[in-house]
Amino acid sequence: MIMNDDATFIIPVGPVHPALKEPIELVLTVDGERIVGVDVKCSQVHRGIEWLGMNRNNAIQSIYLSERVCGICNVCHPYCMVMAVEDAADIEVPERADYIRTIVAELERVHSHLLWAGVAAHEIGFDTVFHYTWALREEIMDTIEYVTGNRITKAIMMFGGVRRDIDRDRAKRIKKATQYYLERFEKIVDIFLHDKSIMMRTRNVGILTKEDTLKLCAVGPLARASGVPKDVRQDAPYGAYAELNVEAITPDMYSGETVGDVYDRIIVRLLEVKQSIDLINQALDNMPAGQIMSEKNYVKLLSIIKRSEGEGIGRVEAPRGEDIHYVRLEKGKESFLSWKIRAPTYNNVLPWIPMLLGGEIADVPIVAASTDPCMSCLNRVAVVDEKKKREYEISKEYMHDLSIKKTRRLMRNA
Amino acid sequence: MMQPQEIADEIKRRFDCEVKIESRACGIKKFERYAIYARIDRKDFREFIKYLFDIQDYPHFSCISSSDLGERIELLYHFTVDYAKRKQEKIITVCVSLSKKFLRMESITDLIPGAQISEREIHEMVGVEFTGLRDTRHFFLPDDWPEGKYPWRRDETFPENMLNKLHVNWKNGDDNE
Repeated sequence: MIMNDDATFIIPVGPVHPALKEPIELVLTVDGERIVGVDVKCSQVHRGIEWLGMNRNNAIQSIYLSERVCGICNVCHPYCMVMAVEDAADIEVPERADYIRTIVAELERVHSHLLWAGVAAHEIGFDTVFHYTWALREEIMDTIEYVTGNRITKAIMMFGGVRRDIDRDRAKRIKKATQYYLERFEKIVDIFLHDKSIMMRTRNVGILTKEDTLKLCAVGPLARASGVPKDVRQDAPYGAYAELNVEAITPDMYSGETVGDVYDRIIVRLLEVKQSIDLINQALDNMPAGQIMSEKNYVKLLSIIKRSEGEGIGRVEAPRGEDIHYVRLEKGKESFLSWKIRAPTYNNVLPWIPMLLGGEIADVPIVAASTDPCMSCLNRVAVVDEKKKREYEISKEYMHDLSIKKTRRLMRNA
Repeated sequence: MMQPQEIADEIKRRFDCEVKIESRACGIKKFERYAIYARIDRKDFREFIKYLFDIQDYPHFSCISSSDLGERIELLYHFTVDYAKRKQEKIITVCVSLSKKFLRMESITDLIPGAQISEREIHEMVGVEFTGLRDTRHFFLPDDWPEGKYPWRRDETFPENMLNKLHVNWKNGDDNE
């Protein structure tokens, strides 16, 4: 902790976080417990994926590389990328493939939102709910494995279609999973939305106003929870979404009001789990028969891409919001001339600043986690007290402890 | 609500530029979604952004892409308008071509604060200076990144010596065994 002249302190939060996915550094200026300044620093895990796609890999290899942009969103990144390339090289996609892509993308959303709900419960010190939610999530993970062959990195996308069909047996397995969640949905809602301690820790915490959402170009559940009904599936449908009934979910659908706080983000994500289940059922019922790939021969496919010249944009509503890829192809080149990946967290980092300002240190874990960042970093906090010339660390555990104490304090006073 | 063709016509009327509309059909009913590309002159850029505000109060800014075309660098700003409306959203991509001898753009962070990270990214990855961008620190690259080296360029400024060439290292390893 560094003391400034005006008696405020600077606390760096992160960047190393061995427990969660990716590192990011938050530099907080605090006055007592209140946060008065926020700065965000990335740069710890830029792996140069775009560079590899532009220089080392051929287009098909890049599909599998793009799955590895993020372990959780391993369908939406390749989905975006194949859409951009299909645009640029003018490759057709069979109708059945559009439906299969949609189903797999929705399966991913269910698992991602449940994963997030568990993490959120853990951040406010409610570990029973964390374990319960993650146990529930296993059903969808098993289904994904049954359908695609893998729990993560499903390797199902291909230019002009998908690599695996959803036959009758797999469709039956998916139906079983959707039934499983429909039966338990009321209980999940009850736990998250009617529990007193969750309500106390999340209501009116980390508010993002509608104006800030629009100015900072926030996306996904974060934007929707602040009352901006923006959803790529609804606004610019791709895959089978144009034929399914998709409506952007805002918190007022459940509670009748939009506050834009952490609680509203929980509402939006939970309702989206239900929405995804409905979409999966609709898509399974309406899925047309036919081919799943427009060109089965990969060598031919690669030569089509090599001969093409053009540019394309792919946009997908990832569990965290709008994901966009831009690809430009040049004649005679197996890799891309340019490839730009913009994951949703990219736009959702700047909104942390207004959300954290004025809050308490104990709220940092849940507020940061409420955007469902694809990088978590709250493990090691180095505190340097310049006045006393002493250095110590606030660990993730200490911060977690602070968070639990706050919950207990609120419970006592309630 | 303006149709994609109307937006393209309006862009052509206001600016001297090349506009193309790409559409893509999906699903059984072949619903079409649209992407509009406008390749404009650098001097019109600011006016163009203001025009986007005429279409919708807060045009959604997605990101900036770049292509190294040899002598020039092309920057592509991806925006969407008419979002939050069912099946109405359009992507508008504004492309500006810059000479490598004069890599300078006007910042749009005063109009769209959310563009800050993208501009910082292009600044460090491609080496474009943004006039009016207050915060020019590194965002994705480490603080001790060598000056004048740009990883997304295809010329002498690319940090070739920083590549970890595994095939070379492996060969050396084989010799030692």
